[in-house]
Amino acid sequence: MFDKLKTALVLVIIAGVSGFLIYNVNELTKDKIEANKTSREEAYYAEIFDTKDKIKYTKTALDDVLIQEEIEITDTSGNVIGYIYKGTHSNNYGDITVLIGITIDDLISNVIISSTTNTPTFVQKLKDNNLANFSGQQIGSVTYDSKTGATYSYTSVSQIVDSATQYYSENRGEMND
Amino acid sequence: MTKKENFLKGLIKENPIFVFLLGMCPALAVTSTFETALGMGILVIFVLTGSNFVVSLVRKYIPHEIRTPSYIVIIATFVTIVEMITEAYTYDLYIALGIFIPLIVVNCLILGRAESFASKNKVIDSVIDGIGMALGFTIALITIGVLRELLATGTIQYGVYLPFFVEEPISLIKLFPKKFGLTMFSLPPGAFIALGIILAISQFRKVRNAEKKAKEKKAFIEQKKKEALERKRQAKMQKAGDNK
Repeated sequence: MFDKLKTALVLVIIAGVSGFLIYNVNELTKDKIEANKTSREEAYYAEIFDTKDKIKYTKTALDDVLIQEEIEITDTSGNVIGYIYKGTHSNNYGDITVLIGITIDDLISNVIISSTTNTPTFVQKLKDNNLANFSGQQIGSVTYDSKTGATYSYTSVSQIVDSATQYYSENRGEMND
Repeated sequence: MTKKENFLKGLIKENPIFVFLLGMCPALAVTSTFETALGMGILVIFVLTGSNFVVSLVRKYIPHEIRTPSYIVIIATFVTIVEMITEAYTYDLYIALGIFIPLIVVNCLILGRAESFASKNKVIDSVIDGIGMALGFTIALITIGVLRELLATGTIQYGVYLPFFVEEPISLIKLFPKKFGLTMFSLPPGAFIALGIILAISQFRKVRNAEKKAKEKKAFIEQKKKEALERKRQAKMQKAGDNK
């Protein structure tokens, strides 16, 4: 009986000390981590609209299967310059999160893979060869590459782009003007 | 075993990757560039040294039947701490290493050293063993990373993921333009091929050294035999002379 109690006590102490250490390190680093994430995200927004000027953004959570967030981007004077849609899709190789920028002229300004657990080399292939092809396309007639060498990742990207453009057309595009 | 021998054994003689083939998952997955290999190596140095220290410190208080889960909790704590610090201070490296940081928990090298060394030895020796083994692991990762990056891109870059000492990425070595690189070496098959090449070279050296030693031993035995025969012959001759 005493042996079992001792075993349990040892486990409780190890888990307690471990939890205490992790809690404290988390307290020390969480602000810095949050700042890193925000700065990375803001860099993506600036890259999507190809601007070095400071931008402002407002996030809205969406109730869509693939698109989780709509981010309204405004310049320093408060004029809307476009929208960014953040979507996530799961394929056989994991998750892939994509940001799609659409200007108020109904053009896709840029598509960026912001995070993914898909095979890095295939993702890099898409970044190098395929994502740029989306830039400048009209949202009503987006064409997709037929051969990419990264079928699963590209299919996920295509589906997210499709959902984002569809959502934009239905809610923000010229059709709603 | 002296402290120096304890430290040095992990570098070459008992190198975790090239000799024991331990921790192959990061050795293949994060060695596409020199910098990611170095980054993973630094994290492993911290985790292995820390876990060896704690395991050795509490070795007398952990009941035998729960030692493995206890060691895993200790290792997981260090890995979580390392993950948070990496995410806070070297965010690019955190993104580049991705899932392979949490996977350090199941790196058999770390649990292996906890089980086979730290749980049976004093704190100082365990820490020295941890540093030595982790340095050996890091050297092996860097060797694979350098070979792969050089063959794939012709250059060795620093400053892309690790923000220390440089403001902007720099090329440490430049052998040939990127367009002549063998891209395959940055892909998973390239990792296996690069590791295979290095293991073959290391095995070749080992076998050659063993053969050399065997040859020297054989020559030494032959020499001793000759000397013994000579002594015997001289003794015989001396005996024959005495009889005359």
